[in-house]
Amino acid sequence: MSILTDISENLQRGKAKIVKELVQQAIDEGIPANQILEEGLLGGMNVVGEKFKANEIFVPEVLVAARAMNMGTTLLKPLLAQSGVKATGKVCIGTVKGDLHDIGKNLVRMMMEGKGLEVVDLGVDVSPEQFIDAAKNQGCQIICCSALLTTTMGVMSEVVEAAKTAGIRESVKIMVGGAPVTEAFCQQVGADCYTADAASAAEAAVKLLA
Amino acid sequence: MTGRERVLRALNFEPTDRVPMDIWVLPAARLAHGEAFAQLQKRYEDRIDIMSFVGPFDHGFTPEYYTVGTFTDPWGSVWRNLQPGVVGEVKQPVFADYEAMRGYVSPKAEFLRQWEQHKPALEQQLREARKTGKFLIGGWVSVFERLQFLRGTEDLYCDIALEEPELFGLIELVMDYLRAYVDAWAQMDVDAIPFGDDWGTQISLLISPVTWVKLFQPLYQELFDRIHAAGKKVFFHSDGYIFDLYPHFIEMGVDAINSQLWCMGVEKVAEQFAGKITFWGEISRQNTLPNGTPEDVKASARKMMQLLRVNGGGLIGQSEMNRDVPLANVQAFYEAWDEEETK
Repeated sequence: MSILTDISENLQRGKAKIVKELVQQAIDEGIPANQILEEGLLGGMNVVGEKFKANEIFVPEVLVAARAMNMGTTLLKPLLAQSGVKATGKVCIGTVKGDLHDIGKNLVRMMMEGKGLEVVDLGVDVSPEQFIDAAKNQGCQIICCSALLTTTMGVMSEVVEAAKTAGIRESVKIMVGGAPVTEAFCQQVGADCYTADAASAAEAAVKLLA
Repeated sequence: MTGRERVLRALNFEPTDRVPMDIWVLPAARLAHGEAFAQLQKRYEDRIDIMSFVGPFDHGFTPEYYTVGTFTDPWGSVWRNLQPGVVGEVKQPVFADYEAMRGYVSPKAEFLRQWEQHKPALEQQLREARKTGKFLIGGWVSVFERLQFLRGTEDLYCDIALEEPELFGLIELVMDYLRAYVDAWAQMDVDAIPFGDDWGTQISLLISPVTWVKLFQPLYQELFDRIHAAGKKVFFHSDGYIFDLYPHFIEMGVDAINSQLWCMGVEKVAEQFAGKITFWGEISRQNTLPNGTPEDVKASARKMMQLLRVNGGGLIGQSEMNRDVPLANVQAFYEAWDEEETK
Protein backbone atom coordinates (compact mmCIF):
# COMPACT_ATOMS: atom_id res chain seq x y z
CA MET A 1 0.00 0.00 0.00
CA SER A 2 1.42 3.42 -0.93
CA ILE A 3 1.69 6.04 1.73
CA LEU A 4 -0.83 8.19 -0.15
CA THR A 5 -3.39 5.39 -0.06
CA ASP A 6 -2.59 4.98 3.61
CA ILE A 7 -3.27 8.69 4.19
CA SER A 8 -6.55 8.47 2.31
CA GLU A 9 -7.77 5.43 4.21
CA ASN A 10 -6.83 6.79 7.63
CA LEU A 11 -8.52 10.06 6.77
CA GLN A 12 -11.69 8.17 5.90
CA ARG A 13 -11.59 6.57 9.35
CA GLY A 14 -11.02 9.94 11.03
CA LYS A 15 -7.61 9.00 12.39
CA ALA A 16 -6.32 12.56 12.59
CA LYS A 17 -3.12 11.87 14.47
CA ILE A 18 -2.08 9.09 12.10
CA VAL A 19 -2.93 11.22 9.07
CA LYS A 20 -0.71 13.99 10.40
CA GLU A 21 2.15 11.58 10.95
CA LEU A 22 1.75 10.05 7.51
CA VAL A 23 1.60 13.42 5.80
CA GLN A 24 4.83 14.43 7.55
CA GLN A 25 6.37 11.13 6.50
CA ALA A 26 5.30 11.70 2.90
CA ILE A 27 6.80 15.20 2.98
CA ASP A 28 10.03 13.77 4.39
CA GLU A 29 10.11 11.19 1.61
CA GLY A 30 10.06 14.03 -0.91
CA ILE A 31 6.60 13.49 -2.32
CA PRO A 32 5.40 16.82 -3.75
CA ALA A 33 2.93 18.60 -1.46
CA ASN A 34 0.40 18.92 -4.27
CA GLN A 35 0.47 15.17 -4.83
CA ILE A 36 0.00 14.46 -1.12
CA LEU A 37 -2.93 16.85 -1.10
CA GLU A 38 -4.58 15.54 -4.24
CA GLU A 39 -4.03 11.82 -3.93
CA GLY A 40 -3.96 11.48 -0.17
CA LEU A 41 -6.17 14.04 1.53
CA LEU A 42 -8.58 15.12 -1.19
CA GLY A 43 -8.75 11.58 -2.52
CA GLY A 44 -9.86 10.46 0.93
CA MET A 45 -12.41 13.24 1.25
CA ASN A 46 -13.85 12.35 -2.16
CA VAL A 47 -14.59 8.86 -0.88
CA VAL A 48 -16.10 10.35 2.29
CA GLY A 49 -18.34 12.61 0.20
CA GLU A 50 -19.55 9.73 -1.95
CA LYS A 51 -20.29 7.54 1.05
CA PHE A 52 -22.09 10.41 2.78
CA LYS A 53 -24.29 10.95 -0.24
CA ALA A 54 -25.08 7.25 -0.34
CA ASN A 55 -25.97 7.20 3.40
CA GLU A 56 -23.16 4.73 4.04
CA ILE A 57 -21.68 7.15 6.57
CA PHE A 58 -23.25 10.01 8.51
CA VAL A 59 -22.38 13.40 9.99
CA PRO A 60 -20.03 12.12 12.76
CA GLU A 61 -17.86 10.22 10.29
CA VAL A 62 -17.69 13.22 7.95
CA LEU A 63 -16.65 15.52 10.78
CA VAL A 64 -13.80 13.34 12.00
CA ALA A 65 -12.60 12.83 8.44
CA ALA A 66 -12.61 16.58 7.87
CA ARG A 67 -10.67 17.16 11.07
CA ALA A 68 -8.14 14.57 9.94
CA MET A 69 -7.84 16.36 6.61
CA ASN A 70 -7.22 19.66 8.39
CA MET A 71 -4.39 18.11 10.38
CA GLY A 72 -2.76 17.14 7.10
CA THR A 73 -3.40 20.36 5.22
CA THR A 74 -1.92 22.41 8.06
CA LEU A 75 1.41 20.74 7.31
CA LEU A 76 1.02 21.14 3.57
CA LYS A 77 -0.12 24.77 3.37
CA PRO A 78 3.31 26.43 3.65
CA LEU A 79 4.75 24.00 1.12
CA LEU A 80 1.89 24.56 -1.30
CA ALA A 81 2.35 28.30 -0.96
CA GLN A 82 6.10 27.99 -1.59
CA SER A 83 5.54 26.01 -4.75
CA GLY A 84 2.88 28.44 -5.99
CA VAL A 85 0.02 25.95 -5.87
CA LYS A 86 -3.27 27.76 -5.49
CA ALA A 87 -6.73 26.57 -4.52
CA THR A 88 -9.01 25.77 -7.43
CA GLY A 89 -11.44 28.47 -6.36
CA LYS A 90 -12.54 30.66 -3.50
CA VAL A 91 -15.88 30.56 -1.72
CA CYS A 92 -17.33 32.60 1.12
CA ILE A 93 -19.90 30.82 3.22
CA GLY A 94 -22.16 31.77 6.10
CA THR A 95 -25.45 31.23 7.87
CA VAL A 96 -27.73 34.14 7.02
CA LYS A 97 -28.66 36.97 9.34
CA GLY A 98 -30.96 36.04 12.20
CA ASP A 99 -29.95 32.39 12.11
CA LEU A 100 -27.40 30.83 14.47
CA HIS A 101 -27.41 27.26 13.17
CA ASP A 102 -24.11 26.18 11.74
CA ILE A 103 -23.69 22.43 11.53
CA GLY A 104 -24.99 22.27 7.96
CA LYS A 105 -22.92 25.25 6.90
CA ASN A 106 -19.84 23.71 8.48
CA LEU A 107 -20.39 20.43 6.67
CA VAL A 108 -20.58 22.25 3.34
CA ARG A 109 -17.39 24.15 4.19
CA MET A 110 -15.58 20.92 4.98
CA MET A 111 -16.78 19.19 1.84
CA MET A 112 -15.72 22.18 -0.27
CA GLU A 113 -12.29 22.19 1.34
CA GLY A 114 -12.22 18.50 0.56
CA LYS A 115 -12.55 19.46 -3.10
CA GLY A 116 -9.54 21.74 -2.86
CA LEU A 117 -11.48 24.98 -2.65
CA GLU A 118 -10.45 27.82 -0.37
CA VAL A 119 -13.38 28.65 1.89
CA VAL A 120 -13.81 31.88 3.84
CA ASP A 121 -16.14 31.03 6.71
CA LEU A 122 -18.11 34.11 7.73
CA GLY A 123 -19.81 32.27 10.59
CA VAL A 124 -23.45 32.69 11.59
CA ASP A 125 -25.84 35.65 11.57
CA VAL A 126 -24.18 37.02 8.42
CA SER A 127 -25.76 40.07 6.83
CA PRO A 128 -26.10 40.49 3.05
CA GLU A 129 -23.53 43.29 3.28
CA GLN A 130 -21.02 40.98 4.97
CA PHE A 131 -21.43 38.41 2.19
CA ILE A 132 -20.91 41.07 -0.47
CA ASP A 133 -17.93 42.65 1.28
CA ALA A 134 -16.27 39.25 1.63
CA ALA A 135 -16.86 38.42 -2.01
CA LYS A 136 -15.51 41.78 -3.18
CA ASN A 137 -12.60 42.19 -0.82
CA GLN A 138 -11.41 38.62 -0.71
CA GLY A 139 -12.02 37.72 -4.33
CA CYS A 140 -14.58 34.97 -3.77
CA GLN A 141 -16.16 33.54 -6.89
CA ILE A 142 -19.01 31.92 -4.99
CA ILE A 143 -21.23 33.11 -2.15
CA CYS A 144 -22.77 30.24 -0.23
CA CYS A 145 -25.77 30.96 2.03
CA SER A 146 -27.20 28.61 4.63
CA ALA A 147 -30.41 28.79 6.71
CA LEU A 148 -32.28 26.35 8.90
CA LEU A 149 -35.31 28.46 9.68
CA THR A 150 -38.22 29.37 7.43
CA THR A 151 -38.17 32.75 9.14
CA THR A 152 -34.59 33.49 8.02
CA MET A 153 -34.30 31.88 4.59
CA GLY A 154 -35.78 35.03 3.02
CA VAL A 155 -32.48 36.80 3.73
CA MET A 156 -31.05 34.84 0.79
CA SER A 157 -33.14 36.97 -1.52
CA GLU A 158 -31.56 40.05 0.05
CA VAL A 159 -28.09 38.63 -0.63
CA VAL A 160 -28.95 38.23 -4.31
CA GLU A 161 -30.28 41.79 -4.45
CA ALA A 162 -27.24 43.14 -2.60
CA ALA A 163 -24.96 41.44 -5.13
CA LYS A 164 -26.86 43.18 -7.94
CA THR A 165 -26.68 46.53 -6.18
CA ALA A 166 -22.95 46.11 -5.61
CA GLY A 167 -22.46 45.33 -9.29
CA ILE A 168 -20.95 41.89 -8.69
CA ARG A 169 -23.92 39.67 -9.56
CA GLU A 170 -22.48 38.75 -12.96
CA SER A 171 -19.12 37.79 -11.55
CA VAL A 172 -20.24 35.87 -8.46
CA LYS A 173 -22.28 32.68 -8.27
CA ILE A 174 -24.71 32.37 -5.37
CA MET A 175 -25.49 29.00 -3.81
CA VAL A 176 -28.26 28.40 -1.26
CA GLY A 177 -28.99 25.51 1.07
CA GLY A 178 -30.43 24.39 4.38
CA ALA A 179 -33.32 22.25 5.57
CA PRO A 180 -36.29 24.33 4.33
CA VAL A 181 -34.56 25.48 1.13
CA THR A 182 -35.66 23.92 -2.15
CA GLU A 183 -34.82 24.19 -5.85
CA ALA A 184 -38.02 26.19 -6.35
CA PHE A 185 -36.96 28.64 -3.63
CA CYS A 186 -33.52 28.94 -5.24
CA GLN A 187 -35.14 29.94 -8.53
CA GLN A 188 -37.61 32.22 -6.80
CA VAL A 189 -34.88 34.30 -5.15
CA GLY A 190 -32.69 34.27 -8.26
CA ALA A 191 -29.78 32.28 -6.83
CA ASP A 192 -27.66 30.09 -9.08
CA CYS A 193 -27.58 26.76 -7.35
CA TYR A 194 -29.30 24.65 -4.68
CA THR A 195 -28.24 21.22 -3.53
CA ALA A 196 -29.85 18.93 -0.98
CA ASP A 197 -26.70 17.83 0.81
CA ALA A 198 -23.19 19.00 1.62
CA ALA A 199 -21.32 16.63 -0.67
CA SER A 200 -23.45 17.65 -3.64
CA ALA A 201 -22.88 21.31 -2.77
CA ALA A 202 -19.14 20.81 -3.02
CA GLU A 203 -19.48 19.05 -6.36
CA ALA A 204 -21.76 21.79 -7.63
CA ALA A 205 -19.29 24.48 -6.55
CA VAL A 206 -16.52 22.81 -8.53
CA LYS A 207 -18.79 22.70 -11.59
CA LEU A 208 -19.74 26.36 -11.19
CA LEU A 209 -16.05 27.27 -11.17
CA ALA A 210 -15.16 25.14 -14.20
CA MET B 1 -66.12 12.39 24.85
CA THR B 2 -63.50 14.38 26.77
CA GLY B 3 -60.22 15.42 25.24
CA ARG B 4 -58.42 12.92 27.42
CA GLU B 5 -60.69 10.10 26.31
CA ARG B 6 -60.29 11.17 22.71
CA VAL B 7 -56.47 11.08 22.90
CA LEU B 8 -56.36 7.80 24.82
CA ARG B 9 -58.68 6.18 22.29
CA ALA B 10 -56.55 7.49 19.44
CA LEU B 11 -53.45 5.99 21.09
CA ASN B 12 -55.28 2.66 21.30
CA PHE B 13 -56.47 2.82 17.67
CA GLU B 14 -60.08 3.02 18.77
CA PRO B 15 -62.68 5.21 17.04
CA THR B 16 -63.10 8.78 18.23
CA ASP B 17 -65.86 11.29 17.54
CA ARG B 18 -63.26 13.48 15.83
CA VAL B 19 -59.49 13.63 15.46
CA PRO B 20 -57.98 14.82 18.76
CA MET B 21 -56.07 18.06 18.38
CA ASP B 22 -52.95 19.69 19.76
CA ILE B 23 -51.33 22.99 18.81
CA TRP B 24 -47.82 24.25 19.59
CA VAL B 25 -47.47 28.00 19.50
CA LEU B 26 -44.01 29.51 19.58
CA PRO B 27 -43.94 32.72 21.61
CA ALA B 28 -42.73 34.38 18.38
CA ALA B 29 -46.14 33.74 16.79
CA ARG B 30 -47.93 35.45 19.66
CA LEU B 31 -45.51 38.37 19.46
CA ALA B 32 -46.06 38.71 15.71
CA HIS B 33 -49.84 38.45 15.69
CA GLY B 34 -50.67 39.89 19.09
CA GLU B 35 -54.28 40.01 20.25
CA ALA B 36 -55.60 38.52 16.99
CA PHE B 37 -53.79 35.28 17.72
CA ALA B 38 -55.06 35.23 21.30
CA GLN B 39 -58.62 35.70 20.04
CA LEU B 40 -58.22 32.81 17.62
CA GLN B 41 -56.89 30.56 20.36
CA LYS B 42 -59.77 31.48 22.61
CA ARG B 43 -62.33 30.91 19.86
CA TYR B 44 -61.10 27.38 19.18
CA GLU B 45 -60.01 26.49 22.70
CA ASP B 46 -62.52 23.67 22.99
CA ARG B 47 -61.10 21.91 19.94
CA ILE B 48 -57.70 21.45 21.56
CA ASP B 49 -57.51 18.23 23.53
CA ILE B 50 -54.01 18.43 24.96
CA MET B 51 -52.51 20.77 27.54
CA SER B 52 -48.75 20.88 28.12
CA PHE B 53 -46.94 21.92 31.27
CA VAL B 54 -43.36 22.83 32.00
CA GLY B 55 -41.44 23.00 35.25
CA PRO B 56 -38.02 23.95 36.58
CA PHE B 57 -35.18 23.82 34.03
CA ASP B 58 -37.62 23.47 31.08
CA HIS B 59 -37.63 25.87 28.16
CA GLY B 60 -40.41 28.36 28.73
CA PHE B 61 -40.61 27.91 32.50
CA THR B 62 -38.52 31.04 32.79
CA PRO B 63 -38.31 33.59 29.96
CA GLU B 64 -34.60 33.55 29.09
CA TYR B 65 -34.74 30.79 26.45
CA TYR B 66 -37.06 32.96 24.36
CA THR B 67 -35.38 36.29 25.01
CA VAL B 68 -32.87 37.98 22.72
CA GLY B 69 -29.36 38.03 24.14
CA THR B 70 -27.11 35.57 25.93
CA PHE B 71 -27.64 33.61 29.12
CA THR B 72 -26.10 30.72 31.01
CA ASP B 73 -28.29 27.69 31.55
CA PRO B 74 -28.35 25.71 34.81
CA TRP B 75 -25.70 23.36 33.44
CA GLY B 76 -23.25 26.19 32.72
CA SER B 77 -23.55 26.38 28.93
CA VAL B 78 -23.95 29.80 27.36
CA TRP B 79 -26.80 30.37 24.91
CA ARG B 80 -27.19 33.05 22.31
CA ASN B 81 -30.54 34.09 20.90
CA LEU B 82 -31.25 36.48 18.03
CA GLN B 83 -35.01 36.23 17.66
CA PRO B 84 -37.59 37.02 20.33
CA GLY B 85 -39.86 34.06 20.96
CA VAL B 86 -37.62 31.43 19.35
CA VAL B 87 -35.10 29.31 21.24
CA GLY B 88 -31.49 30.15 20.35
CA GLU B 89 -28.36 28.03 20.22
CA VAL B 90 -25.63 27.07 22.67
CA LYS B 91 -22.48 28.93 21.63
CA GLN B 92 -20.25 28.19 24.63
CA PRO B 93 -20.83 24.62 25.77
CA VAL B 94 -19.68 23.97 29.33
CA PHE B 95 -17.68 20.90 28.29
CA ALA B 96 -16.01 22.27 25.17
CA ASP B 97 -12.97 20.87 26.95
CA TYR B 98 -13.59 17.66 28.87
CA GLU B 99 -11.21 18.92 31.54
CA ALA B 100 -14.17 20.98 32.76
CA MET B 101 -15.84 17.75 33.89
CA ARG B 102 -13.29 17.39 36.69
CA GLY B 103 -14.99 18.55 39.85
CA TYR B 104 -18.14 19.50 37.94
CA VAL B 105 -21.24 19.58 40.12
CA SER B 106 -24.34 18.27 38.38
CA PRO B 107 -27.36 20.60 38.53
CA LYS B 108 -29.51 17.63 39.61
CA ALA B 109 -29.58 18.76 43.25
CA GLU B 110 -30.58 22.27 42.21
CA PHE B 111 -33.29 20.86 39.93
CA LEU B 112 -34.70 18.80 42.81
CA ARG B 113 -34.59 21.82 45.11
CA GLN B 114 -36.47 23.97 42.60
CA TRP B 115 -38.86 21.10 41.86
CA GLU B 116 -39.89 20.77 45.51
CA GLN B 117 -40.35 24.52 45.67
CA HIS B 118 -42.52 24.62 42.57
CA LYS B 119 -44.37 21.33 43.09
CA PRO B 120 -47.38 22.69 45.05
CA ALA B 121 -48.07 25.28 42.36
CA LEU B 122 -47.71 22.70 39.62
CA GLU B 123 -50.03 20.30 41.42
CA GLN B 124 -52.59 23.06 41.69
CA GLN B 125 -52.24 23.85 37.97
CA LEU B 126 -52.75 20.20 37.12
CA ARG B 127 -55.80 19.91 39.40
CA GLU B 128 -57.36 22.85 37.58
CA ALA B 129 -56.39 21.40 34.21
CA ARG B 130 -57.98 18.05 35.08
CA LYS B 131 -61.32 19.82 35.36
CA THR B 132 -61.12 20.64 31.64
CA GLY B 133 -61.09 16.96 30.73
CA LYS B 134 -58.05 17.43 28.52
CA PHE B 135 -55.06 15.10 28.11
CA LEU B 136 -52.15 16.45 30.15
CA ILE B 137 -48.51 16.36 29.12
CA GLY B 138 -45.69 17.34 31.48
CA GLY B 139 -42.01 18.16 31.02
CA TRP B 140 -39.69 17.69 28.04
CA VAL B 141 -36.88 15.14 27.98
CA SER B 142 -33.89 15.55 25.67
CA VAL B 143 -30.97 13.14 25.73
CA PHE B 144 -29.08 13.81 22.49
CA GLU B 145 -29.75 17.53 22.55
CA ARG B 146 -28.67 17.84 26.18
CA LEU B 147 -25.41 16.14 25.25
CA GLN B 148 -24.98 18.65 22.43
CA PHE B 149 -25.77 21.58 24.72
CA LEU B 150 -23.11 20.38 27.14
CA ARG B 151 -20.37 19.34 24.74
CA GLY B 152 -21.06 21.33 21.58
CA THR B 153 -22.62 19.75 18.51
CA GLU B 154 -19.51 19.14 16.42
CA ASP B 155 -17.41 17.84 19.27
CA LEU B 156 -20.21 15.53 20.36
CA TYR B 157 -20.51 14.09 16.85
CA CYS B 158 -16.76 13.52 16.77
CA ASP B 159 -16.90 11.83 20.18
CA ILE B 160 -19.60 9.54 18.82
CA ALA B 161 -17.58 8.67 15.72
CA LEU B 162 -14.42 8.00 17.70
CA GLU B 163 -16.21 6.48 20.72
CA GLU B 164 -14.22 8.75 23.02
CA PRO B 165 -14.12 7.37 26.58
CA GLU B 166 -15.17 10.72 28.08
CA LEU B 167 -18.42 10.55 26.14
CA PHE B 168 -19.66 7.75 28.35
CA GLY B 169 -19.03 9.81 31.48
CA LEU B 170 -20.98 12.66 29.93
CA ILE B 171 -23.85 10.34 29.06
CA GLU B 172 -24.00 9.05 32.64
CA LEU B 173 -24.03 12.63 33.96
CA VAL B 174 -27.04 13.41 31.77
CA MET B 175 -28.81 10.14 32.53
CA ASP B 176 -28.36 10.57 36.27
CA TYR B 177 -30.14 13.91 35.98
CA LEU B 178 -32.82 12.60 33.63
CA ARG B 179 -33.72 9.69 35.90
CA ALA B 180 -34.48 12.21 38.65
CA TYR B 181 -36.27 14.50 36.19
CA VAL B 182 -38.44 11.74 34.74
CA ASP B 183 -39.25 10.33 38.19
CA ALA B 184 -40.32 13.80 39.36
CA TRP B 185 -42.74 14.23 36.46
CA ALA B 186 -43.92 10.62 36.65
CA GLN B 187 -45.23 11.31 40.16
CA MET B 188 -47.41 14.13 38.90
CA ASP B 189 -50.95 13.79 37.58
CA VAL B 190 -50.02 13.96 33.92
CA ASP B 191 -50.97 11.50 31.19
CA ALA B 192 -47.77 11.58 29.18
CA ILE B 193 -44.16 12.72 29.31
CA PRO B 194 -42.70 13.94 26.01
CA PHE B 195 -39.22 13.54 24.60
CA GLY B 196 -37.60 15.85 22.08
CA ASP B 197 -34.42 15.07 20.17
CA ASP B 198 -33.87 15.94 16.51
CA TRP B 199 -32.40 12.91 14.76
CA GLY B 200 -32.71 13.76 11.11
CA THR B 201 -31.42 16.04 8.42
CA GLN B 202 -33.86 16.87 5.66
CA ILE B 203 -32.92 13.69 3.78
CA SER B 204 -31.33 11.22 6.18
CA LEU B 205 -30.47 10.41 9.77
CA LEU B 206 -27.79 12.52 11.44
CA ILE B 207 -25.99 9.48 12.80
CA SER B 208 -25.78 5.89 11.68
CA PRO B 209 -28.84 3.83 12.68
CA VAL B 210 -26.42 1.17 13.92
CA THR B 211 -24.81 3.69 16.27
CA TRP B 212 -28.24 4.94 17.34
CA VAL B 213 -29.33 1.46 18.34
CA LYS B 214 -26.08 0.74 20.12
CA LEU B 215 -25.62 4.02 21.94
CA PHE B 216 -28.97 5.76 22.32
CA GLN B 217 -31.72 3.14 22.21
CA PRO B 218 -30.78 1.70 25.64
CA LEU B 219 -30.84 5.20 27.18
CA TYR B 220 -34.30 5.93 25.84
CA GLN B 221 -35.55 2.47 26.75
CA GLU B 222 -34.53 2.93 30.37
CA LEU B 223 -36.39 6.25 30.59
CA PHE B 224 -39.43 4.99 28.66
CA ASP B 225 -39.69 2.01 31.02
CA ARG B 226 -39.69 4.30 34.06
CA ILE B 227 -42.51 6.34 32.54
CA HIS B 228 -44.57 3.35 31.48
CA ALA B 229 -44.07 1.77 34.91
CA ALA B 230 -45.70 4.87 36.38
CA GLY B 231 -48.70 4.39 34.10
CA LYS B 232 -47.89 7.31 31.82
CA LYS B 233 -47.62 7.46 28.05
CA VAL B 234 -44.41 8.28 26.16
CA PHE B 235 -44.58 10.89 23.39
CA PHE B 236 -41.56 11.60 21.17
CA HIS B 237 -40.66 14.52 18.92
CA SER B 238 -37.91 14.50 16.33
CA ASP B 239 -37.29 16.82 13.44
CA GLY B 240 -35.89 15.57 10.18
CA TYR B 241 -35.90 12.38 8.16
CA ILE B 242 -36.29 9.61 10.73
CA PHE B 243 -37.91 6.93 8.61
CA ASP B 244 -35.36 4.35 9.75
CA LEU B 245 -36.07 5.04 13.43
CA TYR B 246 -39.83 4.41 13.40
CA PRO B 247 -39.41 0.63 13.80
CA HIS B 248 -37.26 1.23 16.87
CA PHE B 249 -39.71 3.69 18.40
CA ILE B 250 -42.48 1.16 17.83
CA GLU B 251 -40.41 -1.64 19.33
CA MET B 252 -39.57 0.54 22.34
CA GLY B 253 -43.20 1.31 23.05
CA VAL B 254 -43.38 4.98 22.13
CA ASP B 255 -47.07 5.82 22.20
CA ALA B 256 -47.08 8.83 19.87
CA ILE B 257 -44.50 10.26 17.48
CA ASN B 258 -44.24 13.86 16.30
CA SER B 259 -42.17 13.97 13.13
CA GLN B 260 -41.76 15.85 9.87
CA LEU B 261 -43.93 13.50 7.84
CA TRP B 262 -43.75 15.64 4.74
CA CYS B 263 -39.99 15.48 4.25
CA MET B 264 -40.24 11.69 4.33
CA GLY B 265 -43.48 11.46 2.37
CA VAL B 266 -46.74 10.85 4.21
CA GLU B 267 -47.66 7.99 1.87
CA LYS B 268 -44.36 6.22 2.46
CA VAL B 269 -44.62 6.62 6.24
CA ALA B 270 -48.25 5.51 6.28
CA GLU B 271 -47.60 2.47 4.13
CA GLN B 272 -45.06 1.13 6.60
CA PHE B 273 -46.17 2.41 9.96
CA ALA B 274 -49.85 3.46 10.08
CA GLY B 275 -51.60 1.46 12.76
CA LYS B 276 -48.35 0.62 14.52
CA ILE B 277 -47.77 3.94 16.29
CA THR B 278 -49.91 7.05 16.75
CA PHE B 279 -48.85 10.06 14.71
CA TRP B 280 -48.83 13.27 16.77
CA GLY B 281 -49.02 15.60 13.77
CA GLU B 282 -47.86 17.39 11.81
CA ILE B 283 -48.69 19.62 8.84
CA SER B 284 -45.51 20.86 7.17
CA ARG B 285 -44.15 23.88 9.02
CA GLN B 286 -41.40 24.23 6.42
CA ASN B 287 -43.79 24.78 3.56
CA THR B 288 -47.59 24.44 3.88
CA LEU B 289 -48.16 26.38 7.09
CA PRO B 290 -46.03 29.44 6.26
CA ASN B 291 -46.39 29.43 2.46
CA GLY B 292 -49.59 27.56 1.61
CA THR B 293 -53.21 28.66 1.47
CA PRO B 294 -55.86 27.74 4.03
CA GLU B 295 -57.11 25.15 1.55
CA ASP B 296 -53.58 23.68 1.36
CA VAL B 297 -53.58 23.37 5.15
CA LYS B 298 -56.92 21.56 5.09
CA ALA B 299 -55.79 19.33 2.23
CA SER B 300 -52.74 18.27 4.27
CA ALA B 301 -54.94 17.39 7.21
CA ARG B 302 -57.29 15.48 4.92
CA LYS B 303 -54.42 13.47 3.54
CA MET B 304 -53.12 12.68 7.01
CA MET B 305 -56.57 11.56 8.14
CA GLN B 306 -56.97 9.37 5.06
CA LEU B 307 -53.57 7.76 5.34
CA LEU B 308 -52.66 7.64 9.01
CA ARG B 309 -55.93 6.95 10.82
CA VAL B 310 -56.51 3.28 11.48
CA ASN B 311 -59.81 2.09 12.95
CA GLY B 312 -60.58 5.71 13.74
CA GLY B 313 -57.46 6.22 15.87
CA GLY B 314 -53.71 6.54 15.41
CA LEU B 315 -53.64 10.26 14.68
CA ILE B 316 -53.51 13.46 16.71
CA GLY B 317 -53.99 16.59 14.61
CA GLN B 318 -51.01 18.64 15.74
CA SER B 319 -48.89 21.40 14.25
CA GLU B 320 -46.48 24.12 15.35
CA MET B 321 -47.10 27.79 14.64
CA ASN B 322 -44.20 30.16 14.15
CA ARG B 323 -44.43 33.85 13.39
CA ASP B 324 -44.42 33.27 9.64
CA VAL B 325 -47.69 31.30 9.67
CA PRO B 326 -50.52 33.59 8.48
CA LEU B 327 -53.50 33.82 10.83
CA ALA B 328 -55.75 32.46 8.08
CA ASN B 329 -53.66 29.29 8.08
CA VAL B 330 -53.81 29.04 11.87
CA GLN B 331 -57.58 29.22 11.60
CA ALA B 332 -57.54 26.63 8.82
CA PHE B 333 -55.49 24.36 11.07
CA TYR B 334 -58.14 24.59 13.80
CA GLU B 335 -60.86 23.72 11.31
CA ALA B 336 -58.92 21.17 9.29
CA TRP B 337 -59.50 18.15 11.49
CA ASP B 338 -63.27 18.31 11.46
CA GLU B 339 -64.00 15.79 8.76
CA GLU B 340 -67.37 17.26 7.92
CA GLU B 341 -65.81 20.65 7.16
CA THR B 342 -62.89 19.33 5.16
CA LYS B 343 -64.74 16.95 2.84
